[in-house]
Amino acid sequence: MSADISMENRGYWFKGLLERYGLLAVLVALIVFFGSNEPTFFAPINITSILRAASVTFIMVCGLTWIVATGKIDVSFYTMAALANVVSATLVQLGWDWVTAYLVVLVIGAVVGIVNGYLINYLGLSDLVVTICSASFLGSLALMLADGSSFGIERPGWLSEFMHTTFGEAFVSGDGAGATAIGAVPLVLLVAAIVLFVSWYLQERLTFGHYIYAQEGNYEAVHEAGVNVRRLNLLLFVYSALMSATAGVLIAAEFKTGQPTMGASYFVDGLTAVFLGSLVLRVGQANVLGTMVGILILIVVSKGAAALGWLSNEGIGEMIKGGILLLGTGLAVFAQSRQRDASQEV
Amino acid sequence: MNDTVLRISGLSKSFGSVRALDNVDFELRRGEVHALLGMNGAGKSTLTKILSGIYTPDAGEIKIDGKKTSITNPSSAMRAGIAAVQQHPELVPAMTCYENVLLGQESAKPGLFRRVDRSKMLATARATAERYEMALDLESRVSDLSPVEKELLSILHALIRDNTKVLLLDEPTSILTEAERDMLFALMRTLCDQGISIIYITHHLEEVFEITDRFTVFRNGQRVATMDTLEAKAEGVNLAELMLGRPLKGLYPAKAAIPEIDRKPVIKLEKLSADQMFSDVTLEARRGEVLGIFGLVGSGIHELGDAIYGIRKHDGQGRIWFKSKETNIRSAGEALKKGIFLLPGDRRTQGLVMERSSVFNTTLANLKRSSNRLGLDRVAANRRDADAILTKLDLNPHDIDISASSFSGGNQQKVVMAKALYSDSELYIFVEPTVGVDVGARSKIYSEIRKLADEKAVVLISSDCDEVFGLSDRAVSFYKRQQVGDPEAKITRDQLLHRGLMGEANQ
Amino acid sequence: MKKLLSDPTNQRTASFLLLTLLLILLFSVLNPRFMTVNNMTTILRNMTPVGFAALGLTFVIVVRKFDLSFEGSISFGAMFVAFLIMSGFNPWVAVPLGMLGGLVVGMMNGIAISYLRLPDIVTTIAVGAVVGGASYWFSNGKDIFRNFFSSGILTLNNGKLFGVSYATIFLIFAYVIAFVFLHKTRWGRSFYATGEYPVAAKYSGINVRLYVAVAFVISGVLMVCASTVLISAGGKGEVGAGEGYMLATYAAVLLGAAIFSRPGILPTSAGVLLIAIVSNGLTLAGVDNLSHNAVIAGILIFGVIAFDSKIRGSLSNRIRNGLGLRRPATNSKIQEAS
Repeated sequence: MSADISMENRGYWFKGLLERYGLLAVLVALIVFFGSNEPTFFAPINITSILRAASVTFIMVCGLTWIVATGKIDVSFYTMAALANVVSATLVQLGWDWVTAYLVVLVIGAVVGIVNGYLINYLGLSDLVVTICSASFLGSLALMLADGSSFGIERPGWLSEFMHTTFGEAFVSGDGAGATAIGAVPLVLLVAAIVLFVSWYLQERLTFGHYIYAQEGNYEAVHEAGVNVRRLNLLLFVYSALMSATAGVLIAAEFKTGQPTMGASYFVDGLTAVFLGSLVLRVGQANVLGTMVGILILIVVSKGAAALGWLSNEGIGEMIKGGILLLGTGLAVFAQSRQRDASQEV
Repeated sequence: MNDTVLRISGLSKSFGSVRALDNVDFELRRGEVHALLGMNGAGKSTLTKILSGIYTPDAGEIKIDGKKTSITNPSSAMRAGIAAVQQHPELVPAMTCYENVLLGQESAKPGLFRRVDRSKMLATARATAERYEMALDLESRVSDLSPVEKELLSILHALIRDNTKVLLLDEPTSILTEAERDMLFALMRTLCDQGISIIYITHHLEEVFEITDRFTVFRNGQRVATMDTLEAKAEGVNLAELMLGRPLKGLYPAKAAIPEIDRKPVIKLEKLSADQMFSDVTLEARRGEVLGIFGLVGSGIHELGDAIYGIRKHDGQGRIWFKSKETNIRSAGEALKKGIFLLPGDRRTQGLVMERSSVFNTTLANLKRSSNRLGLDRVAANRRDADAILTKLDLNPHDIDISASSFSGGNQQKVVMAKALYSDSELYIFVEPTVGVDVGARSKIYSEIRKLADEKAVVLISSDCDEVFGLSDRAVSFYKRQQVGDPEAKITRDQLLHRGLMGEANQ
Repeated sequence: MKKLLSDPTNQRTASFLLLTLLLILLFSVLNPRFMTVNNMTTILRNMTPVGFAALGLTFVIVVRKFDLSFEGSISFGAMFVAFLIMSGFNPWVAVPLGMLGGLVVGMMNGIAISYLRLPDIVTTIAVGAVVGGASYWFSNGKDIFRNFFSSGILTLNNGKLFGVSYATIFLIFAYVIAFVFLHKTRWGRSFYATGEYPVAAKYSGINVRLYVAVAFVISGVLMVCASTVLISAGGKGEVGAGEGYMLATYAAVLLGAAIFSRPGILPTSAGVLLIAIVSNGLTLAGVDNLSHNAVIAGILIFGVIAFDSKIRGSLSNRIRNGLGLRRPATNSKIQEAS
């Protein structure tokens, strides 16, 4: 029996390789496509912009990724970011420094996460209903705090500088440095990279991630094995809130403004990235690496489409994103149904 | 190996008015395979659930290795050395075997932020598997495993803690083939050689004679007999009789009054098969009689019912005739329109909408009758009709407005019966109509089925042999997805039971 | 009177009426203008779009699914109908055509979710994005208002019958029909069975997949009704028409469902009324628009927690245990005994 299985394993392994990294190939193909049709795509400014947006978006939804991995959803992430954005902007405008403002934001995020996590995992309320409520609540708070409109930060300080610095500008002096590809990479990508790496480690090498994916496969089995699944899931909601809040603060620094409605554009993008990303690495299950790939694909597509003049009006962008989300979800469901044990179906 | 590892005295457990265990004494020796036998509801699964910590007893004492032990939850059962393998074990399909076996114990100390050391896990799992001579590819995914491998894996999971003294196996072989069963038995012998005792619940009587050292028979919550297997074999003991006792008088109504000639065939199956569910089924149900189909869970009888009703697809190689016309039924809606009604086996998820009233449930399968041409509900008429039917069935308490969930099992089943009667069909298929139903409600349901059979065709699908034999005019058994014997031939109760439990047609 | 109150449905209706009375009292105290006829008609007029949306969502909730596409489909409906009117169509033609468009959107949702087995939340978000983006097609994102006055579409909102706008009359009409359909016909019973116990429904011959899909179709059509009321009230079609409807609509349906222990037309109308009263009362009490959502979100979550049967059950058990009273035996154990 062992010999047969290893033969099957080999074939499974190769097909699995294709399934698992196919999306990366799509990303590369898209880059090549847009780049070849519009040379300005590879301009340093464009690369910086893409990577910066990708970093911030990744930080915003890396927590959401794990929540989706357990089969739940959190639709409050984008208003959490908005509230963090407005709170930090307000505090910095009042003269506070970024670090203290960030700590305040983290406390708020922790409270939000605990409330969400408790209501959903300990009281058993619907994840959608609870997070719709928190989303509205936080969005409302953000608007109230900002008096209904965006406002500027007069002295944006070091964090803003950081957001606009690239490797080239930071480490190489003299002209011509920004022209090289590496030079165009924004510093904030480093932050995202660290988060990505740590997340990946948690997800793949520690029991933390192990239990996340185990409970998606069979909640009862993990519960019966003595693991405190409810506490784990609550932590995931806290983490998601903290990370979305972090992204909100970074965005405030980047744009030097407090924008109470900034989150709206990240809603569909974020969810699409997570669901699309579930096609990479863990076929059909959301994961941090996939989310990053999904984000890159979305940003490349929107910047590329804009550069090629496809986005003649606003609506087309939304339609494309919605279409990608639909496609990604469909493929993920299809992939998962193949992995699922057929005999478990009644 | 003669000493006692587990001794139970005076164990009792009731659920409401149902006495599941009645002052039971039981003794398990070290290193033996001890089977628990008895029909559904006899008490054996209650006993094992108490041992594995899922239930707590109302009275009685449990001693393990001479020491009085109180088992209050699954963890304490495991700590006491009792490892239970459920009938449907919870495994994570996408993960590998060794990951499943060590779930919760990936590293020395439990916690959320421990390193998952896969190679160490694999080594530990391999070591235990080798100790018990289990041949499993521990690196394969659970979703790729065959049923017997999943069974072995769950046993391995139960044994991974080194302190196991007693292993509880709950009907592990219902879906295994002969060869797979031999693998399991080999494992069981190895475990016994190493001093582990096994409590083995099974319905397959031939296995008792093959693998066990002793067996205990339960009936109606009481321990009826404990015997040494070899002695029982030598004395030619009739296990079926021990399990069933003498049939209860008066529970089953008199048989068909309509002479055989007048019974018109309503449905006929010819060589019907469904991949992996049942094969080569040929039988005929007639108006005026009850056709009984007996088989254990996994024998294919439930799937057969679903296939006739349109809920499950069949292979298309066999044929179905309904009222002399060849048909292919693709949904329950179609079946109902043609005049076939099926009472599903699990009333809580399949038969009833639990939070709704009896009126709602009764009228659900014949919506046309319960509403006028515009679709509006005939509220008054529905209440009257439901009331009439439920009165006939003796619904207790007689309240047609309270939700189905507030009734006892027996009365819930009466609501399901009412639904059947209201549907006004030609062919009624009853699946497990008296699971969890007390004797009083049972006799009511049986007499209603009999009355129904006087005018319509009835098929009774059940894993309760007494019930099938007592109620049917003709009966056939199913064993491991195959029909055993000719439904036209006369059959005794023991024959019916033995065919369903052992399969040979020449009994 | 006591006997009347012992019936649980009546208890719930009573608690709803009591709650409404308290709210009315509260808001009247905060601002005497609350209890005027003028204000009452304002409440009715403002709640009409949400009323339609909540009616559509009710069907989806009854089959135990979620629809997050309606902000997009309301925008699409608004622009579509506005476009048709601008192109010269008579409102009596434009609106039904628009509803047909809503039907198509609903079918997209229904087929994807019921037949292709895609998850409802994400799929409806995606469809909402696609359809919301499509709303830009009609005029490149610009507001549409040409022909509005001459076509007569504005009378829907401005014309009155017994002091109530035609739009509201249509709404009441729709609710009555929906009530009869969902609570008094066999199809309504099938919807509920599909949502509560889909397996039992299947064994009873109900085409579960069809009912789920139809629920989404009904929702799609009713969303366009909401769109129509919006453009009539606003006098133009704008792309962001659906924004902000998510919370109010869910609050109405779910609050109603929580109070009356299951979703339905009557619960939803109660919920719509409550939310409308709260919204209006808050405005009159001087609370600015921005905080409305926070308050409504709070009410919804509080209502859901307070009326959740599981939580009430475990809370009452704890109280009973604390007082030393015995818990009634449950039936499930009897089942397990065999």
